[in-house]
Amino acid sequence: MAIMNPSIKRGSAELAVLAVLEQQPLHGYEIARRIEQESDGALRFTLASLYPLLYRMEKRGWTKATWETTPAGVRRRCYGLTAKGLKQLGATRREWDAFFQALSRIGGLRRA
Amino acid sequence: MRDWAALVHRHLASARVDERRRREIGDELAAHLEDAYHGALRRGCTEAEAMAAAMAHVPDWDALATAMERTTTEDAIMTRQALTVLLPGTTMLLTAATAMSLALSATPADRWVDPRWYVHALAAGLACLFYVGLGAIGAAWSRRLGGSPSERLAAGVFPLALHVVVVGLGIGEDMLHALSRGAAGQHLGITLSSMINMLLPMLVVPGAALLLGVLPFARRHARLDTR
Repeated sequence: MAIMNPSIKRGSAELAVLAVLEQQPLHGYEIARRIEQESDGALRFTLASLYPLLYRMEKRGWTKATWETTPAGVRRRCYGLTAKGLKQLGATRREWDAFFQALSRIGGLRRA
Repeated sequence: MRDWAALVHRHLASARVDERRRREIGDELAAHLEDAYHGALRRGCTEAEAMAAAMAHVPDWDALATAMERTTTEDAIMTRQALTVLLPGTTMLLTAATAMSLALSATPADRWVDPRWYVHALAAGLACLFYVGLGAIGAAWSRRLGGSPSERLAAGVFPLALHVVVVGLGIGEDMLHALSRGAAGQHLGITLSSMINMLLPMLVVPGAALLLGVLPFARRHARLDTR
């Protein structure tokens, strides 16, 4: 699959993170891995793109992070979606849906 | 095996982030790299390949440090400016507005058209002194709260916003009145000439008075700035 333009990816990053956190709380690496896997490698995060986004979402109250210790004794910071984040996910989904519908009307795109 | 925590902390050392927060971010990023490294090993990569796979998550350490700095300071900057500019600035603006309305309501109508020049000079002098005081208090308060020279300047001249609104409303009303009478071109000439007469006492003089009050407090002060 072709790698998307970074400016388009930037806008979709919030939706991607919120969507994977909807399934279950995850730590940073797992969030990045799932997004990359589920987007067939089209969406890839570096530390510099993922963590500022996670911290901003936490500040906005969309996610809540807690330090957890794995059975192996390793500390990981886990992010879970809050009620506010869930509401935001719904709003973001609607926005992107409307955006794609508009694009498909203009550009004759086919949606999966 | 690589000490990921030491590597991350070394690269983030230059980031201007609170020490406790830097340590927390460093631990989290180190855990991420460690997971990426072990993930690659589990997929069958050699140790060198796994190391490369983990390092691919940080193509630019400087960009990472800058991003972290920006994320952690953007809220702090807002909070800081709200404290060092808006708090003293709006307080001085409200003081100016209160004093202005009190002066308007307490001054008998005939005083405004008093023919004696020294009455007007005295009133103008008192108003100027009052504005010098407002500018000084605003800037000194901002300095006390840790404001930078530009923040002190902004806090000190903040009451000028009130004058800009008053002048703006006056000019707007005048223009609308002229337009409604269909004499825009003719009226505009009068407005432009009267505008200069309005700008001088309403913006230039109070602005200069506020600035005069600000100046002693706008300079960098060694004792307070090193806090």
